[in-house]
Amino acid sequence: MSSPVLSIRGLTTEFVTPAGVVKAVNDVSWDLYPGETLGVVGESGSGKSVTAMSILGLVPSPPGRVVAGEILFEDRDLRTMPARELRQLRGSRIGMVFQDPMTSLNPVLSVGRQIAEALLLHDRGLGRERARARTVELLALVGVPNPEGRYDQYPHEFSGGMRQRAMIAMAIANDPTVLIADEPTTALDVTIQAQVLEVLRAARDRTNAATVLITHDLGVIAEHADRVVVMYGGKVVEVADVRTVFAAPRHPYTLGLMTSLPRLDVELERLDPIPGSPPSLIDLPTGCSFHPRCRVSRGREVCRTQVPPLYDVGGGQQSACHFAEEVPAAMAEVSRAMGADPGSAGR
Amino acid sequence: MTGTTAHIVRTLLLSLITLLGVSVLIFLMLRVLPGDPARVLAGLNASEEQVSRLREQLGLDESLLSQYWSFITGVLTGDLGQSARTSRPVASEIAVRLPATLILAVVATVIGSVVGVTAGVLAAVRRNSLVDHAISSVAMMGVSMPVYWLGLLLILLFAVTLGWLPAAGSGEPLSIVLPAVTLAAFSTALISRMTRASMLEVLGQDYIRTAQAKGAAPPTVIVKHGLRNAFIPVLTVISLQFGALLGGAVLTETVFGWPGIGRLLVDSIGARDFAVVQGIVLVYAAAFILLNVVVDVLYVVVDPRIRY
Repeated sequence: MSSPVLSIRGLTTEFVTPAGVVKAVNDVSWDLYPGETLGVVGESGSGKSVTAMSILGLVPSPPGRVVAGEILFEDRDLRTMPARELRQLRGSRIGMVFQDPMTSLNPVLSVGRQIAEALLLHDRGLGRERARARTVELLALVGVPNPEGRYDQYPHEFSGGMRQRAMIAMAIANDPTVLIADEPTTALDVTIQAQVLEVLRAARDRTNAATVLITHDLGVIAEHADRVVVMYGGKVVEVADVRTVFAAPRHPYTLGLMTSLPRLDVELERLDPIPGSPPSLIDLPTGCSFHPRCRVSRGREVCRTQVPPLYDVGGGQQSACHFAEEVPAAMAEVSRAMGADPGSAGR
Repeated sequence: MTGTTAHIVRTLLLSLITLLGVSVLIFLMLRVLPGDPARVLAGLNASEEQVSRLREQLGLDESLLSQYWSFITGVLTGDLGQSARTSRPVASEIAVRLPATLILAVVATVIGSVVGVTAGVLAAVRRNSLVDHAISSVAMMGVSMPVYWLGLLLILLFAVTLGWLPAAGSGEPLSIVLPAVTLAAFSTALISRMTRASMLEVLGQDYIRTAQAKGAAPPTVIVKHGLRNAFIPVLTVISLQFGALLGGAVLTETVFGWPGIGRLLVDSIGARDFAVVQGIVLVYAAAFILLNVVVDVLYVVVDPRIRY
């Protein structure tokens, strides 16, 4: 494999709250390779979005702060880079699509102007007219009908799906090397989600940007990601390519995510959701923070006392479970209990 | 924009009713004030006969209804009546004094807006810093210090001790500095507080983050994306303050001997000069209504979501 375009090493981001220090992202490392789509999946509060914000230096401060780690983009650390240089990368080399298109566009500026601004900020010589022409092209590219007329409209005149298309146009305006999409479809109607994801895919294909796709939706991951990073409680618990993750997960949390979803390909008698709720990031369980909800741990002491490191389990797959080798057996057992043929539990 | 035009026409038509109400109110309020205008005007040594003749001259012996009728028909034909004190037309009395008040209010509002908005933005951007606390403290003083006290202090420092600026009157161009600054103190403080609160809310919005993610530098983010969104409530405060300054400059005008309409109003009330008081109040009411229409239009300019 070629060398990664974006490399995160030991990233740790904290929020100081009245209730205590929240470790939203805790020693997270992963690599993003050219041209690939890396899916980052996990429940709310697992640290997915904060990871994305940390990369671009957009963690609101105070109360948030990136306290440790390296964010290497083309071998330069974004964390220690002068603010001015980081600004030059934002929106040009690294594009970002946010979760909620209803609130992510400035209500008092026309949509066209906001996209054109992304162009003009990074190419002063472009000029208003050419920026407008480029913007109209971009709007057409992301499937906004009547782009010429839509240019001068304001966000409140756009539907949610159209706004997210505009956000995508803004993010890819300068042909970024890396595109970060933070839950790009979560706030949209189900019928619109697939369309927007297709637009995102087309945009990615055109710019050939390496993409970080953050979502809590395993379906989106299965459809759009090449590799998957699973996060839990601010930590990475599993990394694998997308086929392996679905066929043979090696972390009980990943398994739990899959068995809590209904499936179309297999007749299931019941679902097997993960018991309990995501942990409080202020007061994480000791040892492996997943152990209170884990089906594999079965009360073993090491799970309560030692934080499992992320390690290679073979085939390019990594897991942060003390008993990663027991996960396949657990998977077979759950599948039987759910009424599925064990062999078809994976896809 | 057709909706906006219709809105303006509707507002102006409705305001005629408001003005009619104002005219009735001020007419009645003056009539229930203790003190006989004719007696005040005639002076201490006037005979009963002189007083009653004067009363007749002023039309005060007629019924309230007919007095009001002659007042309102006069207004509708553009005649505000005559000053009982000077015997000059009320309209020209007002016309002589209005420009001085207007320019004072405009200059004070400009100072208040520019300084207030700048201070408010600074305080919001540097929230909880020394700058923020300093601005808050000064603003607190601005809100709580009485105008006559601040005015006297400024006169003492800049006119008496330093001798840089004229203490009173309106003879020189620089004469306006002290009264305008004094008058602006309260508005500046209020506008800065409003701007700070509004900016703090806006700076936490998602679209601010979007602007940052685009690579915009802090000044662009703060002014282009922040301030424009934060401006609606600030604009409301500025317009209300301008209206208040038009009518409320009495103290400042008195302290600085500024020949404005506020002093004319107070003097006219003291002299029971009904025609002048009625005229000034009507002009104030009309000015307020016009101001509101102008602000309604400005809202549309600032925020494309607002349509009438």
